[in-house]
Amino acid sequence: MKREVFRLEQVSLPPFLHDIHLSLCSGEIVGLIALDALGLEELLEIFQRNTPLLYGHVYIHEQLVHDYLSSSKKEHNVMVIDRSSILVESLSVEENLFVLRKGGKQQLLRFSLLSHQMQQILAPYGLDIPPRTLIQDLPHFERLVIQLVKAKLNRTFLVILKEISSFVSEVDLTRLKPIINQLCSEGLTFLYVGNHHEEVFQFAHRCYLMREGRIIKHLLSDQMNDAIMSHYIFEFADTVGTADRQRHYEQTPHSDSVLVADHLSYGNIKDLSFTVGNGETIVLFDREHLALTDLFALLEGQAHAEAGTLTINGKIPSTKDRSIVLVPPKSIERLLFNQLSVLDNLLFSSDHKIRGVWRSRSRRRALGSPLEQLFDLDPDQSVPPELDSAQRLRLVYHRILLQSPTFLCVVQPFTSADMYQRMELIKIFDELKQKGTSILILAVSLSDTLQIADRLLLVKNGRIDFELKRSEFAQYQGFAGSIPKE
Amino acid sequence: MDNKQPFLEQRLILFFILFTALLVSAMLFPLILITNKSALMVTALVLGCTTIALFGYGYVHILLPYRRSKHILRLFASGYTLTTIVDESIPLNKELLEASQMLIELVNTDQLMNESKRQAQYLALQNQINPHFLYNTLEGIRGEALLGGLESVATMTEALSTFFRYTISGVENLVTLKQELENTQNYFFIQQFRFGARIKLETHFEEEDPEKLLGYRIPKLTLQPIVENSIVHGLECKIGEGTLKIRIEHTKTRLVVTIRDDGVGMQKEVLQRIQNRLTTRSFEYVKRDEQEGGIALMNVNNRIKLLFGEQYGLNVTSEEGVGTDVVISLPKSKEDRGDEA
Repeated sequence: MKREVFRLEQVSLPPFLHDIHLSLCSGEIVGLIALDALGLEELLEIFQRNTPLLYGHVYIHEQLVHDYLSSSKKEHNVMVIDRSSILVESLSVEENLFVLRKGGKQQLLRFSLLSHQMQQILAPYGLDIPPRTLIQDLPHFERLVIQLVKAKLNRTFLVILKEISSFVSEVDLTRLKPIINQLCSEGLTFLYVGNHHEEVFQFAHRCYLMREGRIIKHLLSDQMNDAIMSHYIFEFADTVGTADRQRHYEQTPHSDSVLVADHLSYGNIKDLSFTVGNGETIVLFDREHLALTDLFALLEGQAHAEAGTLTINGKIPSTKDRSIVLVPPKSIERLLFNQLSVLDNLLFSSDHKIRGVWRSRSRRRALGSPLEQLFDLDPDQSVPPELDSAQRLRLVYHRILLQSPTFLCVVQPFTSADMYQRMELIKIFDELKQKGTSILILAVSLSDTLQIADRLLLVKNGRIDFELKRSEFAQYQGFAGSIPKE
Repeated sequence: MDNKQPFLEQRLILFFILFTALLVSAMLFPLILITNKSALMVTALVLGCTTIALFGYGYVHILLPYRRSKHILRLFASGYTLTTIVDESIPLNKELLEASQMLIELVNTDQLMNESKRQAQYLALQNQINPHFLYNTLEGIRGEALLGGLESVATMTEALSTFFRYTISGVENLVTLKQELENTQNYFFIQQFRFGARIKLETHFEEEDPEKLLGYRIPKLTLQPIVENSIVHGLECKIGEGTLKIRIEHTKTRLVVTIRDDGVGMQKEVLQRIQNRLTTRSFEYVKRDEQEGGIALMNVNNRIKLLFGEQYGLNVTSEEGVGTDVVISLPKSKEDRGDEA
């Protein structure tokens, strides 16, 4: 007999969710792949707390806890683990595990005892953390495991792992698998939310597919394969896998190097050497998630190399250079200005190309009118706070298209993007490539980055471990997302 | 009915009286000021607090229940629920509650149940007189006879008669899962004479001891119509082999049967239409033309909901080229509730 821990019965919350039937049993990992982003946040919200529903019933441990007539906002004992950690960065591991939890009422703390308990609890999961280590000093993987242990200590019955590959490296995902399996055998239930079936299938025992706010398929273990999935993601394959596109990538010659890293050393980067050619797209893939932050700091000009050189167009990188664009992680939040109008956001970094753009309103309008249809927004209005993530992403990347930089560096461009957003992003990257922009993609998970890459450079211990050309991508064995057809 | 039942009407009257009293007090406020200026602060405070308390009461005990009633009426109008048209915890007034009960009595269970039973019987009978069904079955018998193997003719005839007998006997009874599965397998066996090895049926129990599951009782003719639907609309149109999988699992309170086929699947519009009809409840489906498809699914869904409650029933997902999944959710029951049905 299955021990059901959570069930949604005919849950409807138009226009986001329609007739959702879903059940999770004790000790299993259930995948959830949203082909588009519609309704996903609302669904995860229903997992966490009682929210008003148009119709439907919510059961926890087979007891009705919420339905369409209830109005309580009660929270469920469910933990969501995503990029923004629930741990308090400035506190130690012991405090996060034992003090910041329900029922932790001790007035006087005996740190020696807590440290001892912490080490005992973490040892089975392969973690050996010195006493009173602050969370901010720990790598992403260890923070993730501590959150899982915290979930266990809090007697959480369901843990939602939301797009963890966007902040945990591929090597760490491999290390995480046995830990999750162990916690499962102890009765914890997981909902693994991801955008790529290749990744979700590695973890999940069964999987739900979601599209337009509906559960469109419940895949059991024997159905979790590429053949079945191809029926659900054919639009992606049709758009991205066209012969013309592939030919364009294969034919592009890459003369002159735009970016040159020569025996570069800084922080976790150790003697890193590579070049990015003119109009070339390179994926720098750091499976251990060690070197990328340091490399991005060097590109931003915030840090100086300890040894070696890093140049773009023959110069030391500087953010003031309009021919360079750097897109950090969570680009939407950092690159959009809500107080500016849609048009001003679009033209924000193009004033070096169009003289007097800020003085002449008519020029700005002329530039913005072809894009008006694309955004379905009044270009003179400030960016509406309720603007969805797809529109925001489109705004950021169309600004880059207008800027036409010679070099673009993007960190994890496909993170949190649904299939349709990823298709649009690939189209924009293709356009940039056609304009001759050299692109460097820094990634900890491959996602769809290989679709737009000419070369893949694998970084290990801070230096290039090996290199694959586009025609050799199929050789890569790992948690890869989509790989271009040969 | 409990005479102490709170009604929204009484609360509204109370709110009106208190509000009038508050207005009168506010009007008397200048008089108090003239007679006793020192009481200014105290009186203002009391009046302020009373106003806040009154409006708080109005929000929690009048506005929220009113919104709930409105929501129930909207759900009733859209067909999501037929159980009630008033919020039974706080009805608007006694008359509306009585009218609602009368309406439900008229509309609900009996009539729809009878219609559903009649239609289940009709669908079953239709199968028996369906010329294609009979023709194909008899052709099978004839073919087998021609080949001279009397044993297979006997087997097939037996299967056919068993199927007819099971189908004709009372539709209203609950039967064991074992009986229903046997009938479904029997039906599949008959169909296999048409399709040969092209179609396969697999039954999988998510329990070490299947006997534990086979004793649970489910409404008669729950599985066979869905299997028939899968064969006719899913596997028959498919080029090549097709597999039908029945998966049975149970939780503490529920029995869940999933019928999966890897047939041609449904078009998005057809699926959406079926899902909408499964979500809402009405008589409309009874009058529909069978060509529209999904009538058997609606019939099974309605019977389950009427027997066990709206939280049980069918859920259908389908994709062209992948196949169709029908999940049947039922309460776990081992008692004979046939008489109740």
